[in-house]
Amino acid sequence: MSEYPGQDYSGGQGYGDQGYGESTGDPDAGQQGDGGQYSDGQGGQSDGQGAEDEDVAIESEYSTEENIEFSMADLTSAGYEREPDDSSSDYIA
Amino acid sequence: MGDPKISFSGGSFTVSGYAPAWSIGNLGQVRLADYFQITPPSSFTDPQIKLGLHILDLTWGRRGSLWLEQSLTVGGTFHLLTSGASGSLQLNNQLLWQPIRDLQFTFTFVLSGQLDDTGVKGSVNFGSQFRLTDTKSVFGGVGLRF
Repeated sequence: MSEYPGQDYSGGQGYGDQGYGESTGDPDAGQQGDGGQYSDGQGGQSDGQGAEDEDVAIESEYSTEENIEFSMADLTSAGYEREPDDSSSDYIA
Repeated sequence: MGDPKISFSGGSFTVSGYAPAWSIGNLGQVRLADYFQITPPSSFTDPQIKLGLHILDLTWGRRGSLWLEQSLTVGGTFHLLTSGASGSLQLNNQLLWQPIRDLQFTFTFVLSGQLDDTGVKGSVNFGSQFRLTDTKSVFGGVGLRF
């Protein structure tokens, strides 16, 4: 038996830390210049980056059928104990 | 061969589980009853349930990993939980050992056969249903595209 399968998992780190891109715009970028014009748009928000790592649910189904054959020794080694009534039918010659 | 003592003809053992941070491959490494609830067929007698659980253990030990690998050769569906987009995709074996944040599954084992003095012979119909939830980047890391 392997060790507990999930104990070393570290893949869950980082959920939700994708964050949003920081705006590089200077909030004062629209200050009035000599020409009386305003710079606009530089302070815009970066958006949409968080959606790049959104959660996904995947669903799948599978089925198969196989023949099985286990000896009584197999069953016993797996811990199976015969029912008391089982021995009653062993007598038939 | 002696007379049959316990027989099965249908009836489904169901294993439902939530295994956060497990991989699908991990499921094949464990005895299912040690970690998850197994529901026997309601119509089975106690001796049938007892034997059926041992058959399930033995079968899973011999075939479980193979069946899990094979379950990744099929197609599936995906749902992007924020945008609402959905579609179909082909799974692949790179997913086998990828820990999944929310791994939910249901396995069914339908047993047919009988026990006699020599052992048990029959067949097992195995079915799996998976619902795997994690981020696009995690699935993208194993080659899945949405």
